[in-house]
Amino acid sequence: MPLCGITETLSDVESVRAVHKFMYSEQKRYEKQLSKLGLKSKDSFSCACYFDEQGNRPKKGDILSWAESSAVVYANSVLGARCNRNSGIIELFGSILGCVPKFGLLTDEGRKATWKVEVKTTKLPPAQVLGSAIGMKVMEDVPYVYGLSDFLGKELSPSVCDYLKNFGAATASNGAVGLYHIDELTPEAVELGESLIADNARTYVIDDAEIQRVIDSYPIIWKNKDAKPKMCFIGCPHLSKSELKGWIHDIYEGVKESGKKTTMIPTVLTAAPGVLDAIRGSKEESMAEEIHLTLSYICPLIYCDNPLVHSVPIITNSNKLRTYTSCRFYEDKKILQMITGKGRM
Amino acid sequence: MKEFKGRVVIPGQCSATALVSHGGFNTLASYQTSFLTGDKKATCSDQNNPDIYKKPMAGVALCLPQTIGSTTGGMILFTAADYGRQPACMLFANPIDSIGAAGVLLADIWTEAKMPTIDSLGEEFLSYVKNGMTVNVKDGGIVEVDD
Repeated sequence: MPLCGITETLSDVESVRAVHKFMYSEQKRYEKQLSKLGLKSKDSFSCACYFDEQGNRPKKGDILSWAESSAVVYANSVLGARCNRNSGIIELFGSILGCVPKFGLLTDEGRKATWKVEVKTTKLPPAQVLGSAIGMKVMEDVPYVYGLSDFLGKELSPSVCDYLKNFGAATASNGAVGLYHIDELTPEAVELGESLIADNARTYVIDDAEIQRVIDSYPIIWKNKDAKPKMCFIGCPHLSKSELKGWIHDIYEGVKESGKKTTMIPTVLTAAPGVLDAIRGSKEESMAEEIHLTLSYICPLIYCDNPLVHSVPIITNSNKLRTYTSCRFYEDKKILQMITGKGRM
Repeated sequence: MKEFKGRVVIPGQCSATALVSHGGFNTLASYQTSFLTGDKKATCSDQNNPDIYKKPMAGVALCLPQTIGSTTGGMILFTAADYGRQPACMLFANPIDSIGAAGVLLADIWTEAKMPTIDSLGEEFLSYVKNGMTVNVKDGGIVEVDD
C-alpha cells in the first residue's frame, strides 16, 4: 500500500519538497519529547484518537486535558466527556499534572445551550457546511440543534458518528464550539432534553438557502480559479474505518465506470494509523492500490499549510482544511465526480 | 473621542492604530503564513476574514469579538509575542474566550512582550471603532477611541 507516498504525488513541485524537508526538520526531536511525556506509541499520531482502532476513547463524564479542536468537540458532544478548549500548552500542563481548571464545559451550567438551532432543510445538509454555518454564528457558545435527528435517526450508529465528527470539526474551525447538543441524539440531549437550553437562548434557523449562502461565501484564493486540480485530499479530520472503506469503494467504482485505470486527480485518503492497519490485507487495500489511491496518516492541514503548497491547486471535501489553507472545497458528490470522471462521459 | 470601559485581563497602557475584526479572529489562520515566511509585519493570512485579510497585525490595536478556531490559538499568540510580532494590544468586545486567555497569559508570563488586553468592551465598541482610528488603552480597563 502506498502509505505516506504523498511527496511523490507532488514530485513535480521540487520546492514543495524542500519546504517540507525544512518544516519537518525538528520532527524527530518532537517525537522524542512526546515519548518522554508518555505518548502511547509511534502510531498514536491522529486528530481522531477516540477511534476504537486508536484506543484512546474516553467514557461519559471523564475529565480530559485534550487539545485538537475537532477531538475536543467530539469528546464533549458525542462521547459525553468533559473538556474545555484551553490551548495546546495549557493542556500539556494538565496532562502532566493530572488536573485541569474547573470552569466552562466542565460544569453543568457551562454545558447549557445558549443557542437553539433549527435545521429546516429539505435534505440532510453537508456535515461540514452545517457545522461551518453554526460555528460562524455561535462562535464559542453551545448550540442545541433541532431537526437533524429527522435525517440521522435517534441512534449513534457509526455513520451518524462519522457525520457528527465532520460536523463538529467545522463548528470548531469556523467558530470556537467545544460542545453541541443534537436533539434526541447526543447523550446529554437524550438524557436531559430541553432542560439543557439556557433561558433567553437565541435562535438560528438554517434552511437550504442558508446552506447555499454559506457555501457561496467561501473565498477561492487560487491564482487561476480555473486551474486543473493537481491533488485531492479527503480525510480532515482523519477518516474512520467505515468512511475509508466507503471512499475506496466509491472511488474504485467511479474509476471503473469511467473506463479509467486510475483517478483523474492524484488523491490522498488520510486516516489514523490504527484505521490504516485495520484494512491492511483487505480487498479495499488491493482496490486502493490498483487505482493508485494514496492512503496516509499524514495531517493534510499541516502538509498544505505553507506558502508554496498554497500555490498548488488542491481540492478537498473538508471545510476545516479549506479554512486554514488554499484548498478549494467541494461537496462529496462533486469531488467524487471530479476525481473519477464519473458522470462526465 | 469616545471612551469605553472593559475588564483588565493583562494590565498596561498603549496607543496604537485600530485593526478591527467584526467576525471571530481565527488565530491560527491569521498568523500561520507569516510565521512560515518570517514576515515581521505579521500580515494576516486568514482569507475568510475580509476585515483584516492581508493587513499587518504587528503593533496594531487588534479589536475583535473573540478568538475562534484551532486549539493551537494560545500557542500561536504566545509565539507571535515571542517573535516580537504581537499586536500592541488586544481589545475583546465579548468576555475573553479560553484560548485567547491562554495566549495572552502565556505571552505575558513567558515573553518580554507587552500586550495589554481588555475584554468585555461590548458590542458598541466593535460597532464604533474602525480600521485606522487611534486607540488609547489606559489603566482600569479604559479604552479611548479617537475619530
